[in-house]
Amino acid sequence: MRQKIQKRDNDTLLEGNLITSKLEKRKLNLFIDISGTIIIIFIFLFPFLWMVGMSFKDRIQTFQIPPAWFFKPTLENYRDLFSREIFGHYFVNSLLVVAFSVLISLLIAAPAAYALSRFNFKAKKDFSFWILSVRMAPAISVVIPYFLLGSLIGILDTKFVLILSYLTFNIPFAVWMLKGFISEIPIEIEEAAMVDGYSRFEVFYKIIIPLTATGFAATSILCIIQSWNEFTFALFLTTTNARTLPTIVTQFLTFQGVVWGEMSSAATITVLPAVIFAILVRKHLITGLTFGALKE
Amino acid sequence: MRKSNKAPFIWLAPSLIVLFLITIIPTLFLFYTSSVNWELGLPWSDRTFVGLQNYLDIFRDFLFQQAVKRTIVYTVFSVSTEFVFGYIIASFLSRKSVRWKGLLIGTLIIPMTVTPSIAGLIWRLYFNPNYGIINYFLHFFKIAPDWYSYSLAMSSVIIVDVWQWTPFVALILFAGLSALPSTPFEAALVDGASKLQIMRYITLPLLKPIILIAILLRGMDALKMFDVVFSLTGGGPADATELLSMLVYRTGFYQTGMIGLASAIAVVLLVVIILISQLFIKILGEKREEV
Amino acid sequence: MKKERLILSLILILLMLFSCVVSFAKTDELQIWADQVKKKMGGSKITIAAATHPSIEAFKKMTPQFEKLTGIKVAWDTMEEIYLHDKILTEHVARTGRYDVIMMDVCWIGEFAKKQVAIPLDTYLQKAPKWYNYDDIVPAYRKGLGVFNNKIYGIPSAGESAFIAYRRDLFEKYGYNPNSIKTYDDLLAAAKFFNGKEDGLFGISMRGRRGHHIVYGWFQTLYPMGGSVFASGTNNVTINSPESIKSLEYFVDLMQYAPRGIENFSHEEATTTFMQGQAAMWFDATALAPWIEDETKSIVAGKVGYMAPPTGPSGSAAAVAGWNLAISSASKNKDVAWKFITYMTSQLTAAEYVESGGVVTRTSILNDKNFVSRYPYYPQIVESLEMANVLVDKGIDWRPRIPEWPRIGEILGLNASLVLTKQLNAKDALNNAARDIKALFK
Repeated sequence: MRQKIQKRDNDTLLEGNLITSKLEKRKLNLFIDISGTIIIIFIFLFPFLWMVGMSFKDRIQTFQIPPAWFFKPTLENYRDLFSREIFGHYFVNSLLVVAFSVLISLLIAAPAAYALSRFNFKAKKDFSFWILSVRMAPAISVVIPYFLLGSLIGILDTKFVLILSYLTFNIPFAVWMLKGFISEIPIEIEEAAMVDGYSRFEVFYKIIIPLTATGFAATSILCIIQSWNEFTFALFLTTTNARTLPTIVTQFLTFQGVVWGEMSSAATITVLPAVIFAILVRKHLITGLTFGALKE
Repeated sequence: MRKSNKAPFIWLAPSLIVLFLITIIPTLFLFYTSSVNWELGLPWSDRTFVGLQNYLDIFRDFLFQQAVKRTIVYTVFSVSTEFVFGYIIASFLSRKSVRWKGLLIGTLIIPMTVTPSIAGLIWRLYFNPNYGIINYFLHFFKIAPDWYSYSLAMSSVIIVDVWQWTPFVALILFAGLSALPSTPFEAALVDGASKLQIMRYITLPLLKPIILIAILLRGMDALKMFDVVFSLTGGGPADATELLSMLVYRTGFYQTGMIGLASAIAVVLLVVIILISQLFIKILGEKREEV
Repeated sequence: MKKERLILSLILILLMLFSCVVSFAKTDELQIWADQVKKKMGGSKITIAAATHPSIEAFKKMTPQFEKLTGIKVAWDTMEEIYLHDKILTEHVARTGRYDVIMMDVCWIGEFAKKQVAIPLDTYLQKAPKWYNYDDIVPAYRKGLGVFNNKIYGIPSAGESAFIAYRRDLFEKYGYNPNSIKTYDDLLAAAKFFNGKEDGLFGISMRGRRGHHIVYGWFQTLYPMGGSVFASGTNNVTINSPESIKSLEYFVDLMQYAPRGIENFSHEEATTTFMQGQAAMWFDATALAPWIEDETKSIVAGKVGYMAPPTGPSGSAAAVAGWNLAISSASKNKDVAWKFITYMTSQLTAAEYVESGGVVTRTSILNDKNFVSRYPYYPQIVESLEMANVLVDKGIDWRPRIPEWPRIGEILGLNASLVLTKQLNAKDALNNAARDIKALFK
């Protein structure tokens, strides 16, 4: 039996004392729980599932009204999509750009995060402010000089220029997050190690990093997802060679009824990796999201 | 003279150098291009220096003013909607009787990880007044709005943003709620406070730092919104969904190709966002000290 | 009797043999050319920037054969047509040389020539094989589409005018005589008549999306009503003349009988709605007629009649528009690109092109009885082209082919769409447009 009123939790207080009978209360609560769950799943999951479903429908099923909830799936959309080898090319580009950008960002950001966490120096606040500002900068503002300078140097439409530009949001983000995680580690551990003769670098390498592994995981997950979904830089700085998946939308800008199948399969392939990845690592993902918020 | 400790700068050096190269230099270049008149495609040597004229032009331009207003309205509406729904969801998640939190959290993650440009594309389909799934559900309520029309286009953009990011706010608030101390609540109960009073005088104030962060992060992102609008409406119909970043795109790369003007708008956008975020962080810092 | 029969059969056989030899010789020429190309350029790769268009669909169908014959690999980058302009331009500025062949709209030619995005093709044309026959291309297209400042920048790959398609079945059903539509007022009356006559039926489908799309739709009425962008031969902006204003008001008036969502329609939505049976009439590019008659995609195929545009108070004037294939100045494979263009736009392959859904650009095809009998709209295309010549003869470009046009089009497109969505009235909108256009020339 549940003793709701006496329980000392937030949720108890949120439930209120509107009904007197315990049984009625339980029924009401169950009703709320279930309908709330259904609403949440419907609103947030259904649009995604519908898109995936569409990618397995043929043209007739797509246009059916009322919509076809149950249908025989077909792979023809995906076949069409991959017969255009250019699509696989975009996929590989996305993978490579994301992998390198996140890796390099972590390598560069980790020491900076450590410094901001452990050292105190006059410019610290300014530097933190600056790093955060970089994170906030709108891509569209930065892409104009990137485009012009890139064309001057001649590095446009290369994976390199994308990896480079992605550093603008990955490094500050990683510094911000990692700094918080590192600050969680009690400084006594380091001090003890240094007394034992460890150099600061060894402390960082052998103690801090292993202890903040989950933090690193959370940070890299968020960086990976952001980089995979990045659109503005990819749109303006690439043409055909270095294009990534999010830019396929340009092929569907004028919406013709006839290409829904191709469009939804392209959309599904673009979105699915990130979604599956996120669900698999959701514990770390949540840590990262909420941690970033809780510890500024 | 300032006493400088060399050590930290060695650790910071890689970040400092890289970020300097990829942010300071391009930003300076952006300031420069905002002071010239140059049409995309013409030789670089054809550019003419005009000083602050571009800024004067855009501030006097009706389209620019509208875009600013529109962007602010869009930000306010989407962030507040996300906040309200996010709070409700967070409270729901906090219910002890909900034992399947993992399932719900897994569901909530999905919209956030969907590529925004793709989300715009897919929702464009869903919003189709004739074939879309949204109007299919709505026709049971006897309404079939024309989502592509001038009056509703902005709402469609807001809906997509809310769909994608309410989970974000919800999860942050949920984490915040879970981390709250129980003593104030127990005390309030003993004092006989109502649900509403508790929320107003205890929960929300205690959550203030979290709320501010959520608003900051979402607000900044909303001001920059580009991906979804590009795929969903392209800024249309007419100028119904022309947010500031779309205006930069349209001015600089779309048919007109006026890089100088586009840079000026881009600078305004950049400066505004940075100023607002600095303001927020300052407030946040003070709030932290209060709590 | 028998003897005559015999002689007749002999003659027939000789004729058949002769034509076989001739066509064999023709294909033989092609094979020789292809083998030469294969030897020199086999294995090279070109990328083509193109828009979604029937002409491109036809070229894509012909590509495998081209690749087989010449050993050249072809990659397509297809996108929406307005975005194509931006992408080609930004790619040019980016100096990455990713595109070799570019599909160039007629109204970009001034800008692309000035910014040297496309290269002149005159020297290439001089060396073209005999079976290419440049002069066979319709003169209006040759001169009006691909030439700028006396240099040839593009080969017309899809020439078009604009005309009206109407649902013969609906007109019959309601006893409406299509021949009664002679003026723009008649058109308005017909649209009003059919609008809402049946569930889900609208009067007329056209383009209304902000930008160059709505300009295309609106301009059908501009010249017949006496309006224009510039006073002929001068730089005087006349887009806010009373006649021009009236033409825009008329267009917006007509669009109240258009399908829902018209303010977002490009040619694709405009045509698709008609193909799905949602409109009684359609007024758009002749090049899109193949879509309407495609049974696999259009439920109205075979039920459609065509007519040339109506006349207005100032007479008739039909659109001249179309697409060229051009070579990007940054291309690293210009010669290879030219081979592609040669193959795709030659007289020899023109029949195959049109049969694959391509857009007729050659006089030989337009006059070929075989094709005329198969494509019921050819005579109307000829009619529309005659109307288009009215402007050409006066030296007026349907859309001024000056370097500033893309920006002018954008200004007009914004203001027209503000009028369509009732944000501004036509007079104010066009006065604003005129002011902005004048500012371009300072």
